[in-house]
Order: sequence, then structure tokens, then C-alpha cells
Amino acid sequence: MTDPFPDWLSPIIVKELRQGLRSRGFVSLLSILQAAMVLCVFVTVESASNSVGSQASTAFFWMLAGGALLVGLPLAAVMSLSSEIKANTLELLSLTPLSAWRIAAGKWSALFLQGVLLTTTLLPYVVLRYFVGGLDLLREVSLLLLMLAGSGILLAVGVGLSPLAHRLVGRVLLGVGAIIAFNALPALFVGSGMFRGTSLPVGYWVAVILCLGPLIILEALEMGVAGIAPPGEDTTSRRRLLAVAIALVAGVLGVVWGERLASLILGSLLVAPVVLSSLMEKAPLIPTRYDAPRWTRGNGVLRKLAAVFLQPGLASAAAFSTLVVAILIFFSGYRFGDEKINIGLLFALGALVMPLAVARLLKGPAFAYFLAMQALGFVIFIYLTVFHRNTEVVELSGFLPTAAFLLYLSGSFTTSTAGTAPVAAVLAGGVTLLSIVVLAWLARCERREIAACRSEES
Amino acid sequence: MSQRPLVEVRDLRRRFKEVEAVRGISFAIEPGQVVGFIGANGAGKTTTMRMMATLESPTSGSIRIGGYNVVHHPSEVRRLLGWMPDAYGMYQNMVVEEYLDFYARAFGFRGAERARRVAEVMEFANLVDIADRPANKLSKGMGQRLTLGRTLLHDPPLLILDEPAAGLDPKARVDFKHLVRLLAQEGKTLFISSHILSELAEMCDTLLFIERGRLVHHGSSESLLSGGCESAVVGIRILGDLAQLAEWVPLQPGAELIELTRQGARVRLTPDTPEALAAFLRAAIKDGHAVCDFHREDRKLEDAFVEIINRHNPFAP
Repeated sequence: MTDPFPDWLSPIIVKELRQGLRSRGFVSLLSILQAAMVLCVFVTVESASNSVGSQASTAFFWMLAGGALLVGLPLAAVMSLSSEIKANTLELLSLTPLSAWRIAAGKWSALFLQGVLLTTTLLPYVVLRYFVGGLDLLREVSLLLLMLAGSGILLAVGVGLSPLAHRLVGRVLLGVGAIIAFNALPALFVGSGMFRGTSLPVGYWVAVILCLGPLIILEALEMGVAGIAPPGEDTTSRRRLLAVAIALVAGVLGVVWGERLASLILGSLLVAPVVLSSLMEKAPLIPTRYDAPRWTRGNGVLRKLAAVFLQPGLASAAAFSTLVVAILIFFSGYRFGDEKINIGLLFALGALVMPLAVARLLKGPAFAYFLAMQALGFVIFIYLTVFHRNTEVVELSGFLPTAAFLLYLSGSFTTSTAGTAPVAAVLAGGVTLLSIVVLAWLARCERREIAACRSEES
Repeated sequence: MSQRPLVEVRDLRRRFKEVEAVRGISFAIEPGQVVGFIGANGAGKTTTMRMMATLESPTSGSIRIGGYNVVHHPSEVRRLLGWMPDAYGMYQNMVVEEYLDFYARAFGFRGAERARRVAEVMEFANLVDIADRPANKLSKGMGQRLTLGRTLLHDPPLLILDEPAAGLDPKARVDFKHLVRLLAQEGKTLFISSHILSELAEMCDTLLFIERGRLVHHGSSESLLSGGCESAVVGIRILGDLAQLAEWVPLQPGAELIELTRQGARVRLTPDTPEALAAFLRAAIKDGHAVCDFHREDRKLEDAFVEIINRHNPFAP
């Protein structure tokens, strides 16, 4: 057998390229893309003197390129790990020395290389369009490369979500997530427009893609790794470390570009899944799961910091979440002066910790309970919004849906604006405090169990 | 000096919500042994094997392979074992040789060493003629040989094979049995599950019977056939109505009808003593059955298996 793939290439990349480049999906995509590009160049030539035709051809070109790079390949990424799980082949892979990280990274790399191949096949048409249509070559190539970078991020998100996609619940969650993303992302893209009436500068987005892009890719892949890693492997530490790095980089970018609010929103969206999954995680009692990360071994201070913030467990998850929120708030430039925002933050905290305490107290899937409680709160929020539009508490309850739940319990949403906030704040504060006490108790019990499990093994 | 067991299973339990699939089983396997793992569907065979292969975590108890705990040191354990599941998937757009080449790369083989190892395995598993066939379009027998080849790539000392002969035609079954014998001759330790007791008895040094998550027998097939047996199986042929015989047998003390045959029946008699056999024959003749043949049968593994199951679960049908 003639083998064109060198030894140093990851086995997963070799396998994925062998399979991917022969797959009907990729061959069809490439063929259709090439045929469409020829048509596109033909239209450009024909409409050289007609601005409408030229615009239509440009739109057609970018629609095709975007469709292939930003839709077609990411959809394949969503199926990448789930198809292995479904076909019962992932288990066989996990029995080889390939780590879960190498499997996920290999999947992403192979898909990204396919993206690079597709982009490369598009470049001749860009050059042709420059000669026959007089388009700005540098701008077109830059946009294509930016699209490729965006594709890389979406591919990582696809691979990261892939372990969910083989289960019905996972598919439903992915569907709901996609709807939220389609609604939230445009809002983010015009983030400053929403608040100040202007749009974010292109340079900011380029900086975000270049500086945050690699971290987002790593973080997304780590989510996928967590879905396929053996139960004894600690994937939590790396995910949390990356989330801290993302919060820091997002904050610094906001300060440098003067886009603090947009960076706060972006950073919050990116770290929220890690914060939530850390707080919900009920790691199995396997000693290796709680070993200090390899890179901290030999350094006492790093080891202690890792034990406090990164290693699995509810106590460290709380410390980690506090750290990430503190970083985001620090760089946002917010100074705790506005009473209304302070109350809003209290509600937000209550909305997080109350369902968290309940979800952790119950046996079973904590994340599902958490989502169910948020959904219940959301229904109440809708009810309040429809029937009590004129009260200020509706604005507060909208901050996070479960805050509405607390307000509903207090019965205070029907009172006047002046009397509402203090009553609700006291109630939310009490519930929040009680929830924190419960969580602290749960964290203490968990630490004891972990210590017992580790001493038993040693 | 006794050798340390390659596999040590202690008080292993696995619970899936309300169902306790494995209920405190313990056994050990010495290096080089070929062990058959027998049990009905849902008895806990696959769950036990998956826990041994580091694919499931026990609820309690421990498994050590080569001295390593499978939960705490899965990477070390995985180097020592080859796992062949009962249901497996094959990759699309990949031929047999590429499939093995991929796994050889995954196991860390490089360059000429990889090519040599793939060639050796293809030769052993008789895959050379189908090297260019798509891996996902093989017959069941060829697929099993390919899967066995994959488990051998990194030359593990322990092979765990879950129902390897299930669904194979007679020819493929014979071929597969031959491969297992060759592996046993090479000194591999094999842990094989199957429903086909006679096949396992031929191949295995030791048989483990599992029923409802509990180990109910641990020993050689010879000891199973000879020892611990409280009943005898007799064949009786009569001239006349078989329905009457079927009604008559259960009424006799210590007699149990196993099955009706063309001209008679197979009957289990307890206790296994000459007096009991003689008393049964005397009663048959006395009650008017025209007995033309009465003989004690060699014990079959299936009968021994059923007897053991009944002993541990008297309410089983």
C-alpha cells in the first residue's frame, strides 16, 4: 500500500482525511462549489459594465463560500464525534493510546484542513474576479481568510457539541442553543449599536478573532473532550484555565479598543458554559480525577492555586466562578455605585445559586434540573411581562428568569414601584444567603468524600 | 512459587439505576489461561467484560489487570488488553488494510515497523485476500477476523472477546475457533463469552458461569461434567403413546422430563444412584410402558449448565 501520509501526522488526521476526502459529502460540496464558481466568474465577465450584475455576482460568491465554510463544514463537525459514538467505534478508539484530546483535536484539524483545501480552490476565482471584474484583491483575500478563521472557530464549536448530538436530549438542546445563538449573535455583533447607536469597528473583530479565536477553539474542543474522556481523566482543570484566559483576553481587548461593554458581553457568553458546567459537575469519585495537573507538579504555589480554582469539585467551582466574574467586572470598568444595578446583580446571583442549590441537592442530572427551573422562571417572566408591564420589577426579573420566580413568590410584583425593590431585594437576599449556606455544606461533604477516596487509593 | 494472576476480580458490582447487573463476583485468571464466560442473555457477561476493558466503572469492588486497577490506571490496563465487542462499527470509505494501518498508527507503530505489524496481523487473521475490500462491506465472518486482527495489533497479553462466534456461519465458526486455538498456543490469555457451551468447552481451560449477576460455577469443563452432580440423565424409548409417557414421568419421585425425543424421552433422575435408576425402570415397566431401550447418557454441558442454574434459581422455568 502506498501511504502518502507521513508518520508524524496524527492518526486521527490521517483517518479523517482518508475518509473525509473520499466522502460523498465533501466530493459533492467541492464539485458544486467549483461549478458555481465558474458560473460566478462568467456572470462577473458578462456584467463587467453593469453594477447590479456585479453586486449580484459578488453576493453569490460570498454566499457560496460562506455556505461551504460556515455552514457545510461546521455541520459535518457536529456529526464528527457523535457518528463515532453511534457506530460504536469511539470505544475502540478510546482503548488505543490516543487521548480524548488527540481524538477531538484530530477531528477538528482534519475538518479545518478540508476548509483550507476548499479556500485554496476558491483563490483562483478571486484572482480571476480581480482581473475580469476589477475587484479589490487584497480585501477579497483578507475576507476569505477571515471567513476561514471563523470557520475554524465554528468547526471547534461543532466538534465540542458533537458528543451531545447522538442523544435526543442533546439534539433538542443543540436546536434550542442554535435558535438562541442565531438571536444572540446578531445582537452581539451590533452590540455597541444596541447601546450607543454605533457598530463595533472591524479592527476590534479582527483582534477578537486573532487573539480570542485560538482560545475559543481550545475551549470548544475541551467541551468535546469532556464528553468523550474516560471518567478517571480530569478535563475540568484545562477548561477552567482556558475560561480564565478568555476572560482576561476579552477584558484586555475591551480596554485596548475602548469596547468594554461589548467585551463584557462577549467574555460572559464565552465563559458562561464553563462556569455553569463547573458548578453543575458531579465528578465521579476516582482519585486520578483529582490529581494535580501535570504542569503544576514541582511548583507548590501553582499546585495550591490549581487546587483552589481548577480541580473538580463544588468548592473550587465556586472559587473559579468568582474569579472569572471578578475579572470580567474589573475590566468592564463598572464601579458599584448604581443601586439599581446592585439589586440586579443580587437577583442575578440569586437566580444562579438558588436553582444551583436545588439542582445539587437532588439526585440525578443537575444541569437538567437547573434548566427546568430556569424555564419555569422564564414562563413566569413572560406572564409578568404580559400582565404587569408597568412595574419596574419586570425589568429586574428579566435580568435572569429565575429572579421572577423569587418575585412571584413574594407576591410583590403587584405592588407599586417604590415599595417593590426593597421587599424583593430582601427576599432575594435571604434566598441567596440560604442557597449559599446549602452549597457550602454540600461542598464540605464533597471534599470529605474526595479526601476519603484519595486516602483509600494511596 | 505461584505466579501472580493476570486478572483479579474482587466483589465486583455494577448497578444501572434500579437494576443490579453484576452482584459481587470474584475470580482470578492466570497468565496463559483460556477462560470461557457463560451465561444467558442479561446475566451480566457483557457488563463484566466492559468493566474489565475499562469501558464501564464498577459501582463497587475492584478489577486488577497486570496489577493495575482498571479504574485508577486505565491507560496502563489498556496496553495489556485487546477488546473485541459483540457489536462493532466499521468506518466508511476505508479498506481493510487502511483500517488496520490506522489502528497501528494509533497504537504508536511507525514506518517499516507499522507495515510489518499490519502484514503479520493480516497474515495471521487470513485477511490478505481481502486487503482492498471496503471494511464496512465485509461479511460477518470476515468482519470478525478483521476485528480480531485489530485487537492483536499491539500484541496484548490478554484478549477479551465478547460473543465472538455469534452470528457466524459454520465455516466461519470453525475458522474462528482455529484462530483462538493458535492464540492459545502463543500463550495469550483469553477471556471469551459465548452461548455455545460445547464450543467453549473445546477451547477453554476454565469455565465461569454467571447467572443474574452472580458467579455460579468456576472450574474446568471436566470438573463440570464429573463433579458436583447430583442427578443422572437417562434416555428411554418406548413402543406406544409418548403423551402418556410425558404425563407419567413427572409423577415419579426424583424424575424430571427434559425433553421428548422421536420415540421416547430424556429424563433427569435424582439422586444419581444405581438404585434410583433401577427403581425408575421397574416403575416404567410396571405401569405398562413398553420399554425397548433404557440407557444412561453421558452428561452434556448444556445439562450441567441448566442444573447449575436451577440449583441457584429453583424458580427458573
